[in-house]
Amino acid sequence: MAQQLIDCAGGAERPARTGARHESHELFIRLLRTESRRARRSWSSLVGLGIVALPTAQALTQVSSNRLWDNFDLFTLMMSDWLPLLFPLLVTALYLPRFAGELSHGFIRPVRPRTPIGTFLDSRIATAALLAFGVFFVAVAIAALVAFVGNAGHAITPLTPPGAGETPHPVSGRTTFSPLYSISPALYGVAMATWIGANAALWSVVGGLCLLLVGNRFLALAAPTVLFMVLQVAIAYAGFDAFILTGSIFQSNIVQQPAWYPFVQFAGVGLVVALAYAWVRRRRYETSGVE
Amino acid sequence: MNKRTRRAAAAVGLVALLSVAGAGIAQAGTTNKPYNTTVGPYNGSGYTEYQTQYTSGASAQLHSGTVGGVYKVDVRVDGYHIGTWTRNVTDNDSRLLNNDNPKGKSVRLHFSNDLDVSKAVQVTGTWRSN
Repeated sequence: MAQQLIDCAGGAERPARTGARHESHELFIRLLRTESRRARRSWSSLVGLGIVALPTAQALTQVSSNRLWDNFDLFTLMMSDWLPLLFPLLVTALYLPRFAGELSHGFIRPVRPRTPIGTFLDSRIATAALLAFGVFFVAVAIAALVAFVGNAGHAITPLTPPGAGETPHPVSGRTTFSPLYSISPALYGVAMATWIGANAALWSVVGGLCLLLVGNRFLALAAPTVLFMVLQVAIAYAGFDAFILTGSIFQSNIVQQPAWYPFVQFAGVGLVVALAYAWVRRRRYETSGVE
Repeated sequence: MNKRTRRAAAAVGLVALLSVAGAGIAQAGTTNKPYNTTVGPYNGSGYTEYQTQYTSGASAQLHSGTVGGVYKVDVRVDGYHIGTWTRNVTDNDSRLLNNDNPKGKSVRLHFSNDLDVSKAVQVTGTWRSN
């Protein structure tokens, strides 16, 4: 355990008590790098692979029972159903159980004399955010590649564009960010990967903060999924359906909205996260979840 | 009223009764019929009334009037043969639906929400099986 603690700090020396910001920042980066490397060799890799494979696997099992107009339609099929439904659960499962384990097994107490606790905990939450962003970015980017490039010659599924007697639906009018597709499919793919990755990072920070704030680890790990579901239902039943979380993030189940609509939920959740983080810092990380 | 007249009146009544009963079970699918159904949340379903397939394998026609709120729904033909899903039907949206049903079979439309839609959606419009 002692060796692990020294390792987790990247072998770094403890910064001076005066707390030179530069040294603290360097330590933070070193902890982030060390932990990201470690997480890649853990359970997180398996979950990450599952997340990356999920959209494509889902589409492959569903293409035969769906009529698809074009490759954009194939991409929206990948972004519907299981990925939005499981989103908060997958974000949580990716890294946070590892962090919860550290908090539970008396890992923090011996860390305190060696490493500023704030830097240590911040680095763990940043690791969660970084991994969530990376994994969801890759998952969506691969889905876009499979749909826009892989199915270019109809290698995955045949396409049936709208015919006579059917309402045409130009791609630019189908989803909130789809006007980007008209400029370039690559631009749209990168934009969606970045957007979904950013939301995954945000919700992993929600999960990390829940672990600091809630003493019961099981409740803390369940909290992001419960919060996500409650918000989703509350927004819909309050009559603000255009702002629902899955519709804003994945944009597959609602009609096109003004481009700024998806950012409303992001800003709202971001504001709550910022307030919760400010409170944790004000308490000097002396919260229920930190032993 | 003599015996012959009574028999004729009974026959006319029987034919009228059968026509009314038949209409209640399934309507010939050659004219647009309205639908108004609720599609349940979380991959929930909603169905139209049955129509009788008039031409074997003819595509069904859907003219979606409204799909509740901002949501989209998927729809397919449900009957002796089940068709492929037509995705993302919205307001004022006309679609041709894959329909492999043979003549004379009862068919209806099956609407469905995505797994992550937490609210029931009301859909209205007209359709015919053809």
